[in-house]
Amino acid sequence: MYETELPIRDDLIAAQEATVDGWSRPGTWWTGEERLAIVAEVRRARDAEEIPPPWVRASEVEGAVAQDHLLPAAAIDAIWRLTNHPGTLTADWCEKVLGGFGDHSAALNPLQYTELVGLVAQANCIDRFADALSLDRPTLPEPVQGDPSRSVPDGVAMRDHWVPTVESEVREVVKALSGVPAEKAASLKLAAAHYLPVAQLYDLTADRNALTRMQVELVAARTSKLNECFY
Amino acid sequence: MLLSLSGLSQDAQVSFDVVVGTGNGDGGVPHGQLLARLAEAMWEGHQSTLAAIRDEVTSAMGGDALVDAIAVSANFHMMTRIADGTGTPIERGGMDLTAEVRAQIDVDDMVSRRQTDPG
Repeated sequence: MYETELPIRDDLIAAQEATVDGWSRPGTWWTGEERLAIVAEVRRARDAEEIPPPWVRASEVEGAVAQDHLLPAAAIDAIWRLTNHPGTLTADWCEKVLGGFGDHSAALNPLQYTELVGLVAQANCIDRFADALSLDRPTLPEPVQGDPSRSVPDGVAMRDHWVPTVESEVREVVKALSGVPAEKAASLKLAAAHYLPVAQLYDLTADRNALTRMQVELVAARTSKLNECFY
Repeated sequence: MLLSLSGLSQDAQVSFDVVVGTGNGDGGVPHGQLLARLAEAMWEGHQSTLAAIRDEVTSAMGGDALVDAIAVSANFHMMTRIADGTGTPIERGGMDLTAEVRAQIDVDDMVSRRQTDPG
């Protein structure tokens, strides 16, 4: 995956490889081609020479987004905002995204948006890891053909999040993607290798690889603070 | 972040200055200042700054620690987007537990906090 002599753990590489492979396969609400387009758009959003401020939609900036883009404009706008201004998101903004910013043909199903959030988050994780180590970002695979499953888990409903969730998890952030179980599982698998398995979250005495748990939490907290995330 | 910090705050030697970015010390965590600067360099994304801090971390803590610290920070670029993108609230049972920590790091003034159910 990476051509480097850096001591990257095998489990970390395996988790990243599985995530990248998953991007290319039909998801729950997006095809493999669309899922890869979401990841590619994350890269464009991050690498843009001029990043629009949070109140400007990327799809309305001349030249920023291809006219014949595979994804609906609201999805593209969500990708750019999630990638570049995550700390500025509001419930009102989320509602507008789901409504296609008034364009009903671009409206997103809330679970389709949930899957998109998971993909954008995973891409930000893996690419930022590679960028920080000055490694080439993983090459995107060819899309696997097939239709999304469009499966809706039992018990999914609007609760305390902006998206539908399943009332089965203790941690609210784990519950966040529960409306799309496959995306939740993919994100948790990646997080388990990068940070900690969910089962170890409350064991604040456990060291983690080359870092103590205090060092891990300090890095986690400083990163969350920089992203203006209270959770 | 908050629940973990709340746990860490039970250790009297840990201070949150290094988390907020206002302190010059390690915050009671070995190499705390260096790790915080690494997270800041990742967030800013300037390659020259990153290269310099990578060298510092490798020299002080080793290559394994460098990779693990970058992996953790990358993970929280993921988790923050999941939390903020879905309007994730703090656990209801965690509000009292995290009150002191929230005050110390000005969390309640963040847009993401004001836009979710206060619990």
